[in-house]
Amino acid sequence: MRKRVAVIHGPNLNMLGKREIGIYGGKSMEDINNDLYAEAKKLGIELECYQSNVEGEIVTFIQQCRGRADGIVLNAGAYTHYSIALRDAISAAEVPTVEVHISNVYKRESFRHVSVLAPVCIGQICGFGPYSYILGLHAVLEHKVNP
Amino acid sequence: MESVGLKKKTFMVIAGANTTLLAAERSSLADIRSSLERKAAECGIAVDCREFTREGDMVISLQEAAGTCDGIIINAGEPAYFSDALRSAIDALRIPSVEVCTAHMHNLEESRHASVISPVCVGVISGFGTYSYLLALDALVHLQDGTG
Repeated sequence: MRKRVAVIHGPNLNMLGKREIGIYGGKSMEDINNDLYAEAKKLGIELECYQSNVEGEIVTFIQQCRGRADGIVLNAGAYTHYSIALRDAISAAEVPTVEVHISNVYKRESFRHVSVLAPVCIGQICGFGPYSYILGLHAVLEHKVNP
Repeated sequence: MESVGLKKKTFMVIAGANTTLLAAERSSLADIRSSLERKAAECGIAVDCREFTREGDMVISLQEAAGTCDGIIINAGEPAYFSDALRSAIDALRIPSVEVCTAHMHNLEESRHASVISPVCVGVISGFGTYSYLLALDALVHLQDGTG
């Protein structure tokens, strides 16, 4: 059976390509999703991309990944730094999750250096622009091969 | 992009040996070296892999890389948490550096959550075992391509 991976974009990522281009680049979220779908096709996997600005909706989506997805690539945006609800959802879903960020969060404000999600994720990738998602996709698939 | 004639692009891979990770999480550059070299060759790139036990030797290599390499992959190990010397050496480079941590930094003890070199690297890849090095290579190749 083909592997299934969910890509989740958190708050404000629907504004990519329009907001703070100096930090986040000129690509829109749709452009990023198209690149991800093309990569998924190449890898022979199924991919679903999801975006919500609402913490509770992301929690619900992560819960729905349980038993349904083989991996999650998650850019939780600002929720990364304080959402215990998302952290608990990842733990409960029992789906290997990779945390990704477009920017290098360690170059930025200190509140962005803390991730409450990191301890329940298999790893973190940040700083490579939209390519962080592609790297995250490879990382989560590799994790399934060599757990 | 600057022309380098027929010279192959070279990435320097720097690993600090003997980190104090749990044995299960400890993985050395040697375990991944042949895969790295193979993947780099597929991309038409050379990799110069170096392992060190001394912080100062890493600084010397970074300075050397300034004139000879096109990118850095660095898993500094222990010095990542305190070495201002490494940080300055990386900061002085005009080529991109990618920080790698084979174990997930955030799952290590609290004092190892923050690396002093992360802010001077392009990005950070942490938690995927030796596969983190291959992801870093992919990231650097992508940066050289200058796409998206």
